[in-house]
Amino acid sequence: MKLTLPGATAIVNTLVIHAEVNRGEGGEEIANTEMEIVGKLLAVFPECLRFLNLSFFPKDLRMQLEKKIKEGLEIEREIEFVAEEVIELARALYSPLQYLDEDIIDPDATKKNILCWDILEKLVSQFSELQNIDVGYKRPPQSLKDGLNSLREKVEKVKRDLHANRETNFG
Amino acid sequence: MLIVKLTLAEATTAVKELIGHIEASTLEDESEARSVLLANQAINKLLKKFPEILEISSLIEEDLEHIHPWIKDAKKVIEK
Repeated sequence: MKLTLPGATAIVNTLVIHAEVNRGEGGEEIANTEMEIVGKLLAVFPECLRFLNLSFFPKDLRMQLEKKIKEGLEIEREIEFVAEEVIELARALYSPLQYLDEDIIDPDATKKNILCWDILEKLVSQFSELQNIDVGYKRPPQSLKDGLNSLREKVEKVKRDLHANRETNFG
Repeated sequence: MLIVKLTLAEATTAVKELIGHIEASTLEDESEARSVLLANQAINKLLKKFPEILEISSLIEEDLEHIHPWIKDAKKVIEK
């Protein structure tokens, strides 16, 4: 059976609600079958959890689903690029990092910068030749390697600050 | 060909930044035009592999429409 992501999401949403209703009315067996189907759908479409309205779900189930959402977002897929496309991607990702100092006051921009940084590090670790590309644009030429090194200390501080904020919020 | 491994969250950020990269281009020479077209190719590959990016954010669809003139003009610059 072939399904699209929106189709799978709609089915999962309906089945989870049905299963909860059935369980509440003593239909444990039907509820279990419904959740088995949900499990099969989530194995193929883990990202569909992102579109569900989790507030409707019981706390335990919500926690399980939220864990799966996180896992779904972390699944890696392989993309074939030509070298020039990866270079443009690296230059695009480096661009916002130049404003890191200004963005520190904006938590959303800071988080975005950190994500750009992490992706760039991942790209450089996969293709060491990327370190030599020029990211200086119209200013004096600067290699990506030098650019990343000049920002490393700032990024590590921002990461520490973000972590500290998170601990404070939960505390 | 280079094989890059990305997660959905990373691919979404990559698409957003590539869109910003295209919008920031002044297309003043062939090299900039080429950059715009390469960035657009990269966006298309990312969206093909992660179609759910468009379902997560309707804003990205609007942004993609917004960069059409850049792509069109970049092609003109290259054809000259």
